[in-house]
Amino acid sequence: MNWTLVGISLVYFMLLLYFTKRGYKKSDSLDDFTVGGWSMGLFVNIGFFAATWISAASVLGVPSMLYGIGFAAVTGWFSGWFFANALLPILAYKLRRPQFPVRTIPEFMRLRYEPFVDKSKIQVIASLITIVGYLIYVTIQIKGIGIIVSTMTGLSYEVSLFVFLVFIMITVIGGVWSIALTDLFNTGVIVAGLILAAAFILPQVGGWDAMFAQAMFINTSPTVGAPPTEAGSLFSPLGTFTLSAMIGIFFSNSLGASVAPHWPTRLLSAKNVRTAILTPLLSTLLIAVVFICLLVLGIGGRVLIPTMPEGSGTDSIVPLLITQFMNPLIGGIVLAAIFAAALSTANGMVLHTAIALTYDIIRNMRRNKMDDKKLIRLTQVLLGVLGLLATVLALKPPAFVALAAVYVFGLFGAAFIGPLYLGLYWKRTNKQAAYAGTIVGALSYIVFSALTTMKLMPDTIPAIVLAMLISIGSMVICSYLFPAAPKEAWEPYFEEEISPETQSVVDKVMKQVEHSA
Amino acid sequence: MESFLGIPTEGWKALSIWLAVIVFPWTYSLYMLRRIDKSGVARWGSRYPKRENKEGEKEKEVAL
Repeated sequence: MNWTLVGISLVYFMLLLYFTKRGYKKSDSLDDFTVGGWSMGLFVNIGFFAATWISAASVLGVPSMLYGIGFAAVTGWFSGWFFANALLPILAYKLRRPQFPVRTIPEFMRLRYEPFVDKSKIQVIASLITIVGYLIYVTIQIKGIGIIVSTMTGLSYEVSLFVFLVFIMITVIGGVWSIALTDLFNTGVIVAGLILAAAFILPQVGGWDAMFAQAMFINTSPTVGAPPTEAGSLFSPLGTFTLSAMIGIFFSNSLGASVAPHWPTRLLSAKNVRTAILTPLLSTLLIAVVFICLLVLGIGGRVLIPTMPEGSGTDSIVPLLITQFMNPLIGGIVLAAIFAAALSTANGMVLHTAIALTYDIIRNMRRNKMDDKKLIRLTQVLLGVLGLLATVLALKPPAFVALAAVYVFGLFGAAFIGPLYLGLYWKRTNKQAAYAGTIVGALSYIVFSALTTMKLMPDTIPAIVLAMLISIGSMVICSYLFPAAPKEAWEPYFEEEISPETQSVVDKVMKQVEHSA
Repeated sequence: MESFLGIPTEGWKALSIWLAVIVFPWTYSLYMLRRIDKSGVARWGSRYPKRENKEGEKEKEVAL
């Protein structure tokens, strides 16, 4: 047994329990459980944001891309993802304005587009898109971490999956506050682990300058059987991609990620608009430090191992560096960082899925009102059910799940970018526009993605860009074809003080939970 | 081999796009933060909250 790893795991587990407990204690109401009571300060919110942002896919996938295609990964992926962050202050500026902000993004759709209805169908549609997307994405995250944990620890894949499930359940059960505080801790683990990993690899490649100097002359194949890399091409901004393909990659990575519901939710948890704007801005700087470490792991990895061993893909570069170039203690800490990255992304998504089911669908569509405590308890039960479902699916993921995971963020982008941005910045945007934008956006993205995958359509313009243009176009047309949105729908996002009529409509919707039967 | 800060100049093309994307949001975000301050709305996080005067009209607190 690897006692170093056992020791690190125990320390990590105990600290995680401590932060979970603190989060649990802070969770007194439905507001706390669903959105942290709109009260998080900048420090906690940055931790909450950054840990969710850095997933296992980034910690393992970014060095893998840098290893294989070099700086082209910086152009299309780093820049694309960071551009998504760049758009978030624009959302934050309006989304957190209301005196009583929404708890979820589907609820924003309801209040902004159909504030007068008793049962909102747009809230249900937005929730269903969220649930399907997250369930698929979490399944793939769980599968990825299962493989890493079993490879690094020697535990069986199945046991590794269920160990991860236990960690997810511990951190989600107290709602958003327990996730936020454990995410704050996980951010520390991720940043420390990756700085340590980069600091450990750099001397082995002769330092920063020597690493890039050696990378300039690499001309081997990244994997056995792959075409060799041309000397110097690792620094090309386009790599082997054409300019149009790279622009497509950039937008695919940025537009969808900017409106995936877990990002706006992190803006909602902030204590005010200023904190909501500063959260993505300052988190970006922290995440950039992490990405510089990943750059060292990817390029340094290529210098140390010019070609991956036979049978291994480039995505094995980080595990290979841990096992071959780090001592057990450093390796264990880096493994903890990967685990923390996977956990902090997966737990948030499981929670948002459960809240979408209970709060946005069941509470919304129920004839009788539901007590807050009952709603929280139901959400906690569903958290277990959904976590178990994702874990069981990850045991042997159906082919469509693996295939669909690539498209999840594109789906979010196509469905939500129009309704969110137009709703927040154009008073006229009405209910019909929201339905058209969400449904047409989602469907056209699915159709275009299928057609380009089957090579029945050129992929010069990415499916997500086409779908978003169609979604926004349909919204503009509907906004002019049908009467403009009523004052009660847009006022909270445009005016400093809202009228008594608007206040009464907002109260009616929000109090369906507060004053339960 | 031409390089800057140890990174070959060719690599700086990609890095400059990345850095631009990091710096870019500060421009409009600082403008938004300024608007929040000018609004004086305390719940938005304004550093100079409005206060009521005797006539019930709202006025800005003098900047610190």
